[in-house]
Amino acid sequence: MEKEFMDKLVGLPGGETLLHCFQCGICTSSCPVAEEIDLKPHQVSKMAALGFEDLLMSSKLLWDCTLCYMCTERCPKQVSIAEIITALRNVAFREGMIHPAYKLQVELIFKLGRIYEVTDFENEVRADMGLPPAPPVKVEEVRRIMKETSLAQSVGVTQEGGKP
Amino acid sequence: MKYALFTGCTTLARLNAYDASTRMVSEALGLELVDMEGAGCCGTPIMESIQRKTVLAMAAWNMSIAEDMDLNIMTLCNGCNEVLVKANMELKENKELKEEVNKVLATVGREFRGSVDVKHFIRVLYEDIGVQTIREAVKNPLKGLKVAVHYGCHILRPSDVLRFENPEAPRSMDELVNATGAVSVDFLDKLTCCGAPVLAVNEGLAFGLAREKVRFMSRRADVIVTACPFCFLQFVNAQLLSEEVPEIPVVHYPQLLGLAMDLDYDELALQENRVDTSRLIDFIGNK
Repeated sequence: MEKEFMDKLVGLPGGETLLHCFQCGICTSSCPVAEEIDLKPHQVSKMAALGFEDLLMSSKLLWDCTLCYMCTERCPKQVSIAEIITALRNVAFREGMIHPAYKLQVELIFKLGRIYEVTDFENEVRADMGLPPAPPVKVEEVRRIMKETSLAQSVGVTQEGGKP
Repeated sequence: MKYALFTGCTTLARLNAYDASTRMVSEALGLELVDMEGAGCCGTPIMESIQRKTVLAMAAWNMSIAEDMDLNIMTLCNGCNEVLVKANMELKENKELKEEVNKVLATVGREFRGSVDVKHFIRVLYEDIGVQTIREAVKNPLKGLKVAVHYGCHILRPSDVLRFENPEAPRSMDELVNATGAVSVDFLDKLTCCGAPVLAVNEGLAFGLAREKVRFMSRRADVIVTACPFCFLQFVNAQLLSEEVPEIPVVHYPQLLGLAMDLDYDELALQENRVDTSRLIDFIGNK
């Protein structure tokens, strides 16, 4: 069980450095959200190495990390906690866990090809400011990419224009 | 000099002032920007967090449009910048990954070749135009204006991917600000995250970070200058949502530069910034 979890992580980008951590804590002292979260960055590598998958997957840090990469920059052992957290989120997603805010963004991109809609109204405002209209997105191509990489299916947005 | 402009969703839909001032300043400096027809979402750091392959494919798809234009890409958003630069590097360096991604792109009739570079606007100004040229273009030095320079994370970090500047002691944007005649001042936690990436997940945490940053910046500076739409919105919204946060103008770097270059105040659209920017007029007036 523990070995399996490590294998999952070590195979992902950033995961391969996990075992180099010697718990100096510079990641935690550099972290902008460390004061607010349950699990501190330096504990992530330890817990991952010890196989505490459930604790990691249910921690607030998993979603509250801003991925600012300050921890990564300062680590004397080139461990990237930011990448490990990205890897953990990828593992969580593979196992069916997705934060509602992330799900919403995937749905928007599938629907619009962007995270915001640019309608005639926005283009009129742009024209008033002397700006050219926003170039239309080839949204069919975005949807196809999201389907081909099976993200659309995993999130449950397989039909054009939104949810199934 | 010519770049394909990757505006990014947030600037395109919500921050016309950033878009307009970027185009004005670029034109005045002889930097030609061409819109990318058909391009869409960069892939976003959020999608990278859940499925890396999709983001690589989205980024490659966007970059293939610039490849067809035979132009390097200029980004305005630090999020797009990180996503595109990282994907570009990974796909150029990893042949298998590139093949895998190109199988996906083939289904929409596109191919990523790896023939263009991606640079943030600040980097284009700093490396391609140069501080000296910008200094010479300034007609209206903003003497006495104290500026809090906010780079934003993903113009600098991860530095082994972005390969731009010293991530702990960057100088580019400070020098670009000093070139306008204003002075970049130091402040506490200058390189700390604005909080935007967790806004949708934990609003309290996100604005807590932004509020603290605005407080630190307002102690030392007259104005905050940003290079990313998300940082900009964080510092504006932190002020609009809390009366405890000190009021301080927030402007996009090309707006500041445009003022110093004596470009039209209205067209630079400082009135669109949602926090009072009139303080800046005093500095133009007192030149």
